[in-house]
Amino acid sequence: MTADIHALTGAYALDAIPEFERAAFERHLHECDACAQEVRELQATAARLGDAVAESPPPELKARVLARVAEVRQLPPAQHSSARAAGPGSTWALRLTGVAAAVLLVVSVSLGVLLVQDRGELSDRRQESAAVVRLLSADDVRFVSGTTTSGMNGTAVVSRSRGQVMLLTANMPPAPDGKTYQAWLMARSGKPKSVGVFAPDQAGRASIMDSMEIGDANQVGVSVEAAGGSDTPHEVVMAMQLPA
Amino acid sequence: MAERVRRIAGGAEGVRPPDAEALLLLVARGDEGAFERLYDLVSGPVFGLVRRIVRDPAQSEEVTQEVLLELWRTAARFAPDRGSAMTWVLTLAHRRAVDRVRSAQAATDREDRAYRRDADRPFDEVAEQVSTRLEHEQVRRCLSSLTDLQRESVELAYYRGLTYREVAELLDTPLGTIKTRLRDGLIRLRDCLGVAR
Repeated sequence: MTADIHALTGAYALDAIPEFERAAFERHLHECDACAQEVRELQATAARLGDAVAESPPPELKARVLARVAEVRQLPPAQHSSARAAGPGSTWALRLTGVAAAVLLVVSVSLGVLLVQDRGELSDRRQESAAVVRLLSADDVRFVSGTTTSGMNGTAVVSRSRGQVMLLTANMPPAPDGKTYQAWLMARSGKPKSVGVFAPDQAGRASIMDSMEIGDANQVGVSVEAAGGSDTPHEVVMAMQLPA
Repeated sequence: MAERVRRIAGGAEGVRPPDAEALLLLVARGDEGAFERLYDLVSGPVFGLVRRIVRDPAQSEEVTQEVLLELWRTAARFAPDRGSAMTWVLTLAHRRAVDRVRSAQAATDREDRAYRRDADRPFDEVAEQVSTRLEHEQVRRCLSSLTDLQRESVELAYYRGLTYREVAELLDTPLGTIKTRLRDGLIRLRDCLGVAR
């Protein structure tokens, strides 16, 4: 748990997290009991703010709702009640990639990327392979991963001591016609820094590490841009908080 | 701590009879009579909150109806050990209301990227209404114990359904500061209201 992502408990309890960040934070909550407990307390607090502005609905609404109830099938109890903490609508149960799974994804995707690049220069491959190994073996290597509501996976591998971050994606559909994906590093202040444009392979996978110098970035993101890329992100489709 | 919490939660209100949890358990078994009593109990808070965020009366009714039907549909998923029934209900109501305004807003944004600077309601007008219409003296007192930035941030996020990024832009304050103010503002409210979970 990092101080930075932990600070999002308040925003999360107020539903003030943009959709593209919510999945990553919910995955973090799933692994952080202290954060989940704090979120429950802050949601209860927020509910008091809601309760305080109660207002009677128009009387005819009641008859409409009661009539509809006769037509709506009720869901059975959840199978894994421990996987739910945020109330209805939460889909945490479906997001259970732990660090172990992140590592597997990293290794498998990296190998996939390395293997499909065999038409490139041998020395390039060796360099990339060596860079991946250096990053993965850094003392302070950290993983964060998340799933967007549309099912795209992202994993960031970060070593602050090496000053590097690698972004791996999976289940990414091809960018729309005439568009491209572009990766960004974002710091607390200043403009997002473009890392470059990329296209996922046929399995929806991509890995980006070249020149991902982490600097003081605290978020990595992916946006959809017009072909060729932009100098500022427009349609952000994935964003993850980086470990401090 | 638990004693104090129980006293505050049970004492000051009267608005919230203690049996919403019990009603939800009956509703989960398909008891339509219990659902009607639950409706009487929660429809005011749900509608008031939705209306605060959505504003348009017809859309607010639609969202309120969605929320209440969702309660009926998912009552068996309510887990009493994770928080009170009213928290569960209002968390759902808030999320549905926010979903409604954000999807409407996304449509508008495609045509007008500069919508935030042309915001039709200045925030202090909203904050003022919120403050004067609060029914619960305790909530108002606790809100007023926050710093100005904490209170404005929490109110803009919760009562207007803005993301923390939008709050930061509107208040011309760095993102990290707003994140922190939302959290420490809520923590201060939690302690002031004596909320245990």
